[in-house]
This record gives sequence, structure tokens and C-alpha cells, in this order.
Amino acid sequence: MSVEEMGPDDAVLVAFLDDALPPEERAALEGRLAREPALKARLDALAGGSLPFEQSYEALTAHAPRQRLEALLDESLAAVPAPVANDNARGSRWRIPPAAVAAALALFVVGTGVGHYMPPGLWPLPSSQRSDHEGPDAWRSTVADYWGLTTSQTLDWMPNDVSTAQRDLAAATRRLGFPLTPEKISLPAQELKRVELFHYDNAPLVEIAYLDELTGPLAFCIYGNSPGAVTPPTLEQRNGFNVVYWSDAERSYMLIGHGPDEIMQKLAAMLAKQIAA
Amino acid sequence: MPQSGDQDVRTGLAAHLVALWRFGLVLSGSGQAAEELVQATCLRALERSHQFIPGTRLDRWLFAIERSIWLNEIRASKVRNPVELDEAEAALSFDGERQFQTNILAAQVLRHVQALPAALRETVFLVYGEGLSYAEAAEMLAVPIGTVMSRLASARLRLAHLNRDTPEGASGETS
Repeated sequence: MSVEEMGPDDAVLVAFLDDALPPEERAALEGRLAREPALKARLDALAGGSLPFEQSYEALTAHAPRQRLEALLDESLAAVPAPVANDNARGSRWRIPPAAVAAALALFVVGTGVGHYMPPGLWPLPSSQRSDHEGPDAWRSTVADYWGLTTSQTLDWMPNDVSTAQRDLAAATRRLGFPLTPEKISLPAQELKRVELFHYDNAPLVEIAYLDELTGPLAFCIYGNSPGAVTPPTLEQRNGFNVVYWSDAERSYMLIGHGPDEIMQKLAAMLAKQIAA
Repeated sequence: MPQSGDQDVRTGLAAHLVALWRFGLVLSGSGQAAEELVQATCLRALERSHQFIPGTRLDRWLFAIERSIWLNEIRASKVRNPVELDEAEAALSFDGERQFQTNILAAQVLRHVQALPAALRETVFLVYGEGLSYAEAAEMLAVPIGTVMSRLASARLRLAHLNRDTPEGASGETS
């Protein structure tokens, strides 16, 4: 049996060598080893790989950059203050002004007239149409690929946990070096579901997911990297999604979802204004 | 004490920095990436400290976070995919001539383990380096226990030549 080829008893032989077999299995295997020379040979081959692993990793310890690691921890502790004793102290909700709700309803009334709704998940995604992942829009391509995995069901069960969302926004603020408050990211009729932090091409990427009752999952993404120029909100199609993207001097933004063009543009304009405020 | 998980993480992190750095080295093969991983893990652990269940193993929880950060966030940005063995080895041969003999063997072992496919080397580290049970490793790696055992078997077979090639290696012979 070659080295590459796994034997049928390899797993149990390893457990034998690692002293991880229950007594009765161990006794049974010892009986077989006494009777089966091939099995014994295989055990010897595996035993050949018994090396001082623990001591080797332990030896590495002496070379750990302890001072730097401790400094990194101190930075982290300073960046994430200990939680206050009473999390309910502020009791703030994801407050949505009634006027905004009315505005959003109006938006959707308009939207149903001009747009077309396609239930999420029904968009075909032939590999030939997948955009490549090179160039300045590569991050949007990656987000669109990832966002394609999100369905209404992904977000639906998530509770609207205010303290978690606030904590995540605080983390996103630290990561982006830019204050992300609930006010800056609230949308009139779309329920905030989660805030996720990613890292893309050496820059932070924050994805804020909402659930829109009519059009399904919607995401607002902030990428801590900018093409360098200020670009106005621009609509594009990507992987069957409607995407509106724009940038300022320091960051790039995109809104991605299945909402009709006009609504996506209005929501994007709203977010751009809130972010810039 | 609703915040006890928070407190455990804040006060407990310091004791696991070196273990996190070692795991970072195993995952990434790079000293620089290992330090990035330690910092990202500290930050994430502090941000998520309320999710830590007091009374459970903090090091396991931290390893799981570090591995998730590596897989989901940092690995993709490190294009240098072929494992950089030199750094792990360089870390060990740092002291040059005055190296303990056992460390020569340690350097050999580490170099060869680092050359294994990622799935094998992280399994070897967790089980043989950090003492996780098969079940604990299976849970962390999200694979069946049998897969953990098979990976260990595969790693052992691929590394057995170290004992064969240098029969005196185990006694620390260096030249």
C-alpha cells in the first residue's frame, strides 16, 4: 500500500497509537495485530510518523514576539471598551421617523408602477455571465457573488437585536475609521437585519443587510478603499442584481438588491446623503 | 453577573497570545500574517465577548475565531499561497549556532508539517500540538471524527520518512 493510499484500518490504528481507543476496541485490535502481519506492518508504518510534535510547537514559543503581541492586545483592549453594566441604559430602538415611513410607502407605490419585481433566487447565473474579479469594480463583483447566496430565508429568522446591531456598528466604525451610526444607515421601510465585517484586498468591507418585504434581501456595502475620485451614484446590473455604486475620496459604496431601478436609486441617494451628513 | 463572559475574555486573552500566534503561523505560514491574525482575533473576541460561555475553554473559542478569520478574511488577501516554510523555520533557527539540539529536530518537524496540505497541518497542530481530542478537533474543523483520524494517519505516513531518513535525528544528531 502506498503512502498516499489510505488503508481501511488507518483511522483505528491512529487511534490505537494515540491511545484514544476504548479498552474493548483496543483489546480487539491487539488480537488482530497478533494475527495479521499486514495490519502490524501498517501500524509500524503509521508509528513511523510519531514525531515530537508537541515539543516542536513548544520550541516555537521561545521565538514568539511576545512584546509585540502584548502591544497588539493592549491596542485591542483600548479599541473595544468593556461593556457597561446595564445594556438597556439607552434603550434606543432603530427609530424610524413616521414621515420616512410615509415617504417609503410612496416610493413603493411609485415603484410597483414602473419597476418589475423578480423574486430573489430566481435569477439565473450562468458562469459565462459572471463578471471577473479584476479591476476597480472587482469588489462589487465579489460582493454580488456572495450576496447571491443570501435569500429572504437567510435573513428572515434573524431577530432585530438592537444591542447586537449597535455593537456591530461600533466594530464597523473602528474598522472603517469612520462613524457609522444607526441614523446614517437607516432606511425607511427596510428592516435592518445584520452588520457584517469583512476584509477585501487589504481594506475593510462592511455589509449591512436589510430585508425588504417586497424585493427581498438588500445590502448596503461600504468598502474602505476608493478609486480616488468622487463618483456620483451610478446604476448597473450585476449577476442579475440592481446595483447602485458611488464613491467619495476615501471609500466606495454600493447598494445591491432586487428593487426596481428607480427605488434603488432613491434609496442610494438617501444613504449617500445620510453618510455625507 | 451578566457580563462574566466579557470579563473572562478581557482578562483571559493575554494567556493565549502565544498559542494564537503559533496557530496563526500554522495557518498562514507567515510571521507577519500570524501577527495580523492575533490582532484580528483579539479584536473580534472582544467584540464578541458576550458570546463566550463562562466555564468553557477560552483557548478553543479563540482558535475557532482565529481560524474563521483566516479562512474568511485574510487568506484571500495573501496571494502567496505556497506555504512559506522559511519563516517558521527561520523563527526556529534564529539563535543560529547556539540552537539546542532538540530544536534542530523541532525545526525539521515543523518544516515538514508546514509542507503538508493545510487540512493536515492544522489537524496535526490542534490534536498533537494543542492536545484537542478527536471530537474537539472535529467540531472546530467542522468535519466528522473519522476525517480527523484519517488526516492524522495521512500526516503520519507522509512524515514517517523523517524517522527513516535520519534514524539518529530523534537523538538530536545535527550533521
